[in-house]
Amino acid sequence: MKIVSQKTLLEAAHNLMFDIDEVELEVLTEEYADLLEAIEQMKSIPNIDHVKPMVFPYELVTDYLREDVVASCLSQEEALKNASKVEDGQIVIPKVVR
Amino acid sequence: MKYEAIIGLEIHLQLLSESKLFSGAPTTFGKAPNSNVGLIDMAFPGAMPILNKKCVVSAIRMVNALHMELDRLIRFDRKNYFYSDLAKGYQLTQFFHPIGRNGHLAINVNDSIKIIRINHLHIEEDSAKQIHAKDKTLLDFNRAGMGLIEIVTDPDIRNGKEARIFLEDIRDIAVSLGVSNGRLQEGSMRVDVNVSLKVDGVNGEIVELKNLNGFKNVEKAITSEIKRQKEIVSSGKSVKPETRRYDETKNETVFMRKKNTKIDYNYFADGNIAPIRISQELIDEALNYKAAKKVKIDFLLPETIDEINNDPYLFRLFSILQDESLATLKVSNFVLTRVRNEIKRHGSGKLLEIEDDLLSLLRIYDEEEITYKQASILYKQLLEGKASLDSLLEENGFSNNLDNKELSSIIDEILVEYNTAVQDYRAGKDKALNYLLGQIYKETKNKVDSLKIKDMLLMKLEEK
Amino acid sequence: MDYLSKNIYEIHEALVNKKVTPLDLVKEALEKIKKDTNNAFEYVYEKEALKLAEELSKQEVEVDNPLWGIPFAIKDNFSTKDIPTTGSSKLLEGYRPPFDAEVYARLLNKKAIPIAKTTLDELAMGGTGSSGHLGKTYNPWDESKTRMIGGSSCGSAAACAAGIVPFAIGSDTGDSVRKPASYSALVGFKPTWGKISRFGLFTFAASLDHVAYFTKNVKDSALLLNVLGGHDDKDTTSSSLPMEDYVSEIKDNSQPYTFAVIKEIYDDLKDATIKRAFDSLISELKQKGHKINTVSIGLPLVSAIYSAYYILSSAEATSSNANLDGIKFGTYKDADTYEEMLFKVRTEGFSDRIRRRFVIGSISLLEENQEEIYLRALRCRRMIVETFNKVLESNDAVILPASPTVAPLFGDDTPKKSFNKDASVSDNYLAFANLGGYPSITLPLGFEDNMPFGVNITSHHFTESKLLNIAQRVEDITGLKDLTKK
Repeated sequence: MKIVSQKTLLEAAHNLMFDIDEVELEVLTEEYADLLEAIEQMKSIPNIDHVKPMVFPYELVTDYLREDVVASCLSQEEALKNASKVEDGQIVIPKVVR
Repeated sequence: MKYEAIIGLEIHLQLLSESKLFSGAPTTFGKAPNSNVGLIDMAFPGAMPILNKKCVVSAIRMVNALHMELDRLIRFDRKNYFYSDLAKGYQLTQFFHPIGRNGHLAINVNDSIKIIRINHLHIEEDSAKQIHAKDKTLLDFNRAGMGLIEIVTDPDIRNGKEARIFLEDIRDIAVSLGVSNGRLQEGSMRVDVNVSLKVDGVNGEIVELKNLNGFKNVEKAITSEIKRQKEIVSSGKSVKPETRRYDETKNETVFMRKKNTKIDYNYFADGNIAPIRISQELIDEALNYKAAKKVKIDFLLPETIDEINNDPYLFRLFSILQDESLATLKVSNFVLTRVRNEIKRHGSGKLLEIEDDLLSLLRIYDEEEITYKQASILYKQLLEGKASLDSLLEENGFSNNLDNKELSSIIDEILVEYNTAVQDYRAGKDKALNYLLGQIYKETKNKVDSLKIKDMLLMKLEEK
Repeated sequence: MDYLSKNIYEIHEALVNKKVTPLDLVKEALEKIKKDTNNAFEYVYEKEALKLAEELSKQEVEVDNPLWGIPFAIKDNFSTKDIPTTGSSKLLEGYRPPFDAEVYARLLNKKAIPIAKTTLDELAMGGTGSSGHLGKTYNPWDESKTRMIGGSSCGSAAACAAGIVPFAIGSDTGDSVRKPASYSALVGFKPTWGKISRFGLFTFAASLDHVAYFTKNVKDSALLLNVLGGHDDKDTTSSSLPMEDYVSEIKDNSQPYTFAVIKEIYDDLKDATIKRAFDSLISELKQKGHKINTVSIGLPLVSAIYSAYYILSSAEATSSNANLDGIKFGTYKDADTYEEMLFKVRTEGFSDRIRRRFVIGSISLLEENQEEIYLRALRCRRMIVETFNKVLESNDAVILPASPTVAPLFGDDTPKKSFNKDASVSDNYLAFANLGGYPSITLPLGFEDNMPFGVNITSHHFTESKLLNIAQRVEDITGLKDLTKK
């Protein structure tokens, strides 16, 4: 198991587009260390690495597909009612730099 | 040194459908911004995606046409990243289980057949449209959530020409199957090209070419990029991994940005879309594509309609005309004579190439800005590949046609000048009418439709 | 007269007999909310509820519709059209959704009267009922205001336990309804994953999220399932299996059931009162002819329930909440660039515990860690679920105390680890029913120094009818139902 450095944790936070302060980072580091130990413990479950990952709580398959018809479209007003800033029906945000 | 260019393509096709991939919002173009938006397209908390059957049908058709293995269980994954055009903060795509794998397409290059392997084909959703202004960015979510398929080839292509031929074939297939419009200029087909140079059997760094807006440009961009890479390598330097675009006027590729260290998209399976089993009925329905949308035009004979529906290109053109309310009597006649002729003689290749200009031509013809004769001239010149419609209009001087008022005053002047002929006509001499028409034609220099002149002349002769 | 402390059927009877009108009920609820000191509410439908009640009071009572005119509360992570919906997050203050969640729409359709949106742990992540933007929600059973009611559905639990509403809607991703129910003497029920449409419930972790709810007794829970359960085209993960009439399916019979007690979890119990109450329930069940099996599934597997849950829910949550950017809705912050703006919105909008959880989730999904962390947790999920499937194939239900203690005291406010490797298994096992999507119900079991604690019963997929029957047997034995802190 890779030991994750505080730098990696901070980087992950920044990739999620937020900051965390030093106190939080300390707690996070402890949490993460605990989690890694918990994962080590998982390895002691017999056979764990030989079963398939389980995404849904039970085998789930449907054959339902939506027919291609127009339905349930928001009006422009509804769509923009909660938006931060609107100009000519478009949402305005600060300049995207990337 | 021995050089070999290694080229792979990533092609996005926007799927033809009435509603979006995961919402019931319409896909119509040209609506007011943010007025074609469903709950999931703008990622309102608690909204859930419901997959569109038509998009699956289209994907199945392409999978079949490209000889791919079909995954009978449709699953979606989340591609996680933050960008202003991505409402949910993740894109729904098929990373782990693409609907199609391991296909191929045989292309004809210089009369020999070459097989291009296709790695996979998957369904995913489009992002919002952004306009970057000077100090702000504007967002329109009308495009967000439109259905796309992405086709990824193996690196089997060796030069620009092969790439162009492959892309044109993909386009023709997508178009004739009703899967996509396949219009590179309008963005309903988008291509990213990966080019690297193998030198004495050693692979080089990959350069990605983006924003390519035409099949010929793809070819030229690749050709010039290969040349650039060869020059770098033969001067002893090495090619850097980067993204470049193509500058048409300079005929060279231009640096856009460095390739970042690989972005980690934290892919994982989406839990809001139950896996969907593709039934045999659905496959049958998808592959029996003639049962798909049909062209219906009231004033045409049933056998003409049948001909349209059975000819891939006529079907495509009339579908577009129908969608854009351009399937008028005038335009239909033009297409069924002139365009049908071209298809019979040379097939649809050239027509697809000039399609955007052809549609503009038909539109201005329909709006009476040009005459039938002018339209025919322009059409011929477009097929000859002389220039774009705009410059042809300029060159031919067709862009300053006479309006009704101008025509009316010309006719009035002629009627005064050739009063004798008017008297003759009124006395029952039919030849006098032709004489008058001839005079008006001279004066209007083919800038007005002859039928229109005749109508107006007769009207005025009645009046007086 | 206090009507709202009664159960749904009792209030319905009073409405039918014209002892009370919907307007009286709404006035009583609003009066109680004014006096309430538990900090359970995000939004109170003062005008809207009065208006709706006035209209209903002019109409005939629908005698076949026990929900007619009944006030209810709903957790603030359910989308409610034009009504503020915050998920108790600063980031969503001011958001008024353009649509109704399916469960909410169904209740409106039945003419039940929404009276309040209730507090939660921010975005339903957490179990203390203290991490929302409005701070702590208190436990009505604890007058000293030092004990939590638990979370994340803290406000819905408090509103129901305080007798302000006879039922309240919550959501349960780990134990967010079934645990608070244990701390507040309520019935907390989470049907099978897919039994109730999640359309309009803020996605936290799609494969673990359940719509769940609090009632005063088992019969009321069955009634709500009749209304809320069943397929919905707007949620493709919702089940198409046929519905039953769950109220009439509760039969007064003496059919014997087989219960499994998980040894490792039982052995972890330390509180003597809770242990005694549970033991005496078990012996009464035996006495009535039911069979009890003690089943051992190994401590590593039992300990892994919580860690697998924590990893999977955090990973999904990171992604599910990436839509929160202040642009389309929520709290916007001005800045020079998009990137700066997003940074401000998300740093200031989320509390620190949420941000830490997102980091954990994201780290576990990194390509280099995915096999080690995320996929291992998914493999672990399969081991856990397949084990419990076997247990539930040879037993009708798993039965255990819903919590090893009564409601815990609030800690101080310094940041604390949200994940603890030494967390007790008896305090964190309930998430097995989320990993497996099993129907699971918590019922009152007893009191310790006037603070309640509950028992939890879980059965196999889509066996709600059986589970409610079993729960009814247990309720009959304990006699603990229709409890309200007065």
